[in-house]
Amino acid sequence: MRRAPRSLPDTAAPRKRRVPGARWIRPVAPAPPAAGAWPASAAPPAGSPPAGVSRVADLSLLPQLLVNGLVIGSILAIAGIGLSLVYGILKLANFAHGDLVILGAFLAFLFAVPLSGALEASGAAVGASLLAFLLLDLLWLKRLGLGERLVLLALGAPLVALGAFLVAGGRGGTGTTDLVLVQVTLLSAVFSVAALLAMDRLMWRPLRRKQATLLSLVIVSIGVSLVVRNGLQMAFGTGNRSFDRPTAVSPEVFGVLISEAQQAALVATVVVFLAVHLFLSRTRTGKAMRAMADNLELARISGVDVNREVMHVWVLCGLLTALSGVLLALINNNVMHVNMGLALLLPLFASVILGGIGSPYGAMAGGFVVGIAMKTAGLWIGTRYEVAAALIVLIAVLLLRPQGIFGGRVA
Amino acid sequence: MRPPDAAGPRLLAAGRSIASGAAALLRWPLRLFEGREGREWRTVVLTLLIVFALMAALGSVGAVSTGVVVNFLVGLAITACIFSLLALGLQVQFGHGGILNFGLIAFAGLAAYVMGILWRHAGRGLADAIAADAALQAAVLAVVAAAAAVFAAPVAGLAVERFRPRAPTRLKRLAVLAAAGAAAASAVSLFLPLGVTQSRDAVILLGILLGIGAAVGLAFVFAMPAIRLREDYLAIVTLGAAELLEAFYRNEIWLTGGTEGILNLHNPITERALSNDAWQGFVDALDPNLRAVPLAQLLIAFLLVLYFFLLFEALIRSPWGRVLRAIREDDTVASAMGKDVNRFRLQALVLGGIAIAVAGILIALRTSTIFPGTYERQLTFSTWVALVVGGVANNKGVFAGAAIVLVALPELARNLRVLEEFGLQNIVGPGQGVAAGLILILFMMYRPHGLVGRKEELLFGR
Amino acid sequence: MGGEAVLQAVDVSKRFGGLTAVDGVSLDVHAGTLTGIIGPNGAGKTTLFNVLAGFYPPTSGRVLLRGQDITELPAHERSCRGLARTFQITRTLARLTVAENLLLGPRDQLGERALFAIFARPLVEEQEAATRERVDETLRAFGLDHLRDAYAGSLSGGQRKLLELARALMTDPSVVLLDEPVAGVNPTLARDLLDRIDRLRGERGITFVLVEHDLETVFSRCDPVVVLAGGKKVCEGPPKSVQEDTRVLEAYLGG
Repeated sequence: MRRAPRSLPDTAAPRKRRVPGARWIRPVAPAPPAAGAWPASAAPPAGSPPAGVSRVADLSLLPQLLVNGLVIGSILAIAGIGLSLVYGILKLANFAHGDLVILGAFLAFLFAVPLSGALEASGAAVGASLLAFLLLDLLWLKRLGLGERLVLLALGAPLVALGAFLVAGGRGGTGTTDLVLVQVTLLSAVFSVAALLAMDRLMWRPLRRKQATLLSLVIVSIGVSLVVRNGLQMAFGTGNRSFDRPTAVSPEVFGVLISEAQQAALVATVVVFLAVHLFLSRTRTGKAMRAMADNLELARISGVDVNREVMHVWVLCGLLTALSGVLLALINNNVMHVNMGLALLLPLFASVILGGIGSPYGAMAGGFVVGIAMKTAGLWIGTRYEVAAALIVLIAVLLLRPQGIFGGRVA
Repeated sequence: MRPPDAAGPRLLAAGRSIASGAAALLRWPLRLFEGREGREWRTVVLTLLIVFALMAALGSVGAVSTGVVVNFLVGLAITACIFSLLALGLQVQFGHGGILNFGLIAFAGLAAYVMGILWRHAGRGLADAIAADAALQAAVLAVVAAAAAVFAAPVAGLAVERFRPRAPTRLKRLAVLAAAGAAAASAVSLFLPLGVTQSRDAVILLGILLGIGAAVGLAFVFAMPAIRLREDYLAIVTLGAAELLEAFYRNEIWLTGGTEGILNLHNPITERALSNDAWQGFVDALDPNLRAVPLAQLLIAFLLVLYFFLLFEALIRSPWGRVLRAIREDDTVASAMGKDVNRFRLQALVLGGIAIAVAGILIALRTSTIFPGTYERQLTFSTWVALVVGGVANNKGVFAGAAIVLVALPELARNLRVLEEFGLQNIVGPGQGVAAGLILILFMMYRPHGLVGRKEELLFGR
Repeated sequence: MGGEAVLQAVDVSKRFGGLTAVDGVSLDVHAGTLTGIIGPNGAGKTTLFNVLAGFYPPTSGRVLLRGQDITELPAHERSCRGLARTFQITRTLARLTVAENLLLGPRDQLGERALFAIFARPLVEEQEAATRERVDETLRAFGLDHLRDAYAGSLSGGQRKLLELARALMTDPSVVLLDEPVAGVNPTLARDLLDRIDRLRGERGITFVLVEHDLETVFSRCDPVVVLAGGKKVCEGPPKSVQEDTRVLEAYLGG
């Protein structure tokens, strides 16, 4: 994904390749999914059984489905970390989380439209890097004075912009190139974070002060979900929107088809995992977050500045939802639809609860398990009922081990 | 001297008593609005009047005649009744029973689909069979009689208690039985002679009963997680279950007709309204512009919501309701006093589910069609907003809440279509959603007890 | 004193993870007695109490009520069989009135069954009227009748204690478990409560078991007294002998 843009043919016609299972590749633009339909049924990722047909388990498809499961699992994993932390630390079962993920995708789409083209891309690089530095400041740098911060920005931003221009400049490319994609993801992340911080200040904090119950928070998050989802619908319409990128080409790796987007998703997950791990174990903020997830009162007494750390939680959440949103669109053949968020909600909760609320590692593990369960269950119950697999996993967890894999406390 | 005019003072006395009687009569409705209950009723009635006036104003814009406005209002009133019933069911499940049900639309949809599937796959055949076979006819009439008796008994009991509380129990019981019997008899008479049309009515009635039964069954299924799970987990599970059912309706085309839905449901109300001359005459007499069929639908919908409202109000004031309130306060104490908390919650779930099922069926019968899209999550969320706006744990609040969120809001959204010119796409649906979400958030933050709920909020800081 | 054992704990143990809160405690409570359970903090009194009341199941051992094994029964079932309990921190049902709090008590109320409440209203009303009379009597006996229609949440601390006891009594219990009934209560009220308990023992033959910290109360009123320490029963017997038992002193001082 971070390769320089190649010169691509102008059309989106994919190269048909002679591979087993090739007949499953469907390059045409998919029909708009029914409200709430799981992304896969809109445009089956490379290699999957036709929707809802095969009731007889065709086990030869299993490796392909496992890969697909891992891919969707990686999205769930990345998005799940944010949900798990918010759930564990703030005791907020955020029913708007799925919609926030898709918000990330749409924000990226919004910025991608005007940013195509190398010149604009470099210009955006300046802006994006400025904002990225601000984020860094928020998270890691100690409280520097305003002057120092400005100096840092003034020095750092042009350097980054220069680097970006050198990489991208001159090499034309239409549409949402990889570079543009990175930048819009950053932009989307920043605006997602801003939105989440605003929500915390306006809603969650006052509710916390009133000692709102778990239930009230759930209901308020439903309200947020309504506003976000319908707001997106008002702005972007009910149809499909897509990044202006060529259709996924799926090279064959060890007998299964993995598109570049899917590969990117898997790589991103590994990167995110490492980053999150380092963050949680090495940085002060990360350790504070773990302490808060464990026992909020104890953390407060131990000197953790809870208000500041809550802010950091939302920042992390926003970064991850934006990233997972963009990835989600990418693996779905660059297509996004406003109802995809709601369709994600159940699998997300299943992943988080399976992994143990408050445990980011659990969320990742849970994400993969749920993702694989959903895709492989599709063999028997058809792809249209994949959600059932997530529900079954959820119920099983709640019945057998409600605290999840990594959860310490009893639910 | 002439004897004192005895007639005069007597006339005066009579006049005085008539005057005081009339005054008492006039004051009676006002007395309803006294006290705490009265204040809550005042709020509800005021809300309804405001919404009504607003809708009338909206409807009058560009209307060709008063007839159009009147019919428009009748349509809105039907919507209000049906959605009030839906919210009432949810109120019983959550407000009284404390069960967080985010899959309520699953109940409504299931009942409607069971009825619809019966009609679609076996309806006409069954109706013909009934019309032909005397034994079947007897069976059907027995079911009708039983259903009517069961339906009428609670109201009869309530009426007896209200108007003759001091009568001996044996007499009261007799009165209830008599009323149930009368209801059964009149129901049966409606179906005689059991020709083809009446048989079709009977089949739909069977479908309704089966639909309600299915909803009760679903309530039992929901109960298993409901009583074990923490509220947020329950919300997730019920949401997932509803999603699953929705996928089922959409995909199992052989059974449900998929997105094409089930069409041409036989609607007994419509048929009767069209064929009954007395009804037509009555409607014409009221207002020549009024259409007979919608008015009949309104009558049925109104009677049903009134029935369930009275039933649930009575229940919440009964010992059963007392236990439920105790459970809501502190289920540990309730347990310690020998109450099986799970059983009561299950009962609340079932009773609420029945109301929701009936609402779902009314939705289907109103248009004589059933589409998966009608019973989708948006409606669940909207009903929740209506519940919060009206006030949790207060039955009368649902009328205000439903009027605002489920009647006024969609209508307003429809009228703001003009804003689409400003580039905002497709305002009606999502605009309504955004407004509903904002209303929900604002209410939860600043007035969690809703319009008529008591200040001792259910939801905060326990 | 004496007579059959109405409540028995047979070798009851309760472990929470690695912690053994109650370790092999056996106890026989005889009809009509007022048994006091004492012990230093962490001795397992409250845990044993909760196991007896049915709020959690024991890890091992059995609980018998009038000879019947109730170990597996949940709390509400035990209440139905005549085992009532009060709470240390009074748990009134705040948004119900005082009368309603008490009306909950009697078992076998037809009106509590949904089907009856819906279809057999007249019958329900009849029974309800009788229940209301019983409640009024109890309120008078406890001196709470002027608070009949007040919200239980508005009661003072002392009134709440009285309400707790009255409410437990409405369930027609044969055994009442009292969780620190006079904790934090002024001496006059404490005496009033204990006098009532004695009267109830005499008039209605109800058996009482209480867990208490106030040793003076326990030694002056209870017989027998049971001492727990470290999850085990240290000694049991009439107050005088327990007071003089050196093991008890050790338990409190040593731990």
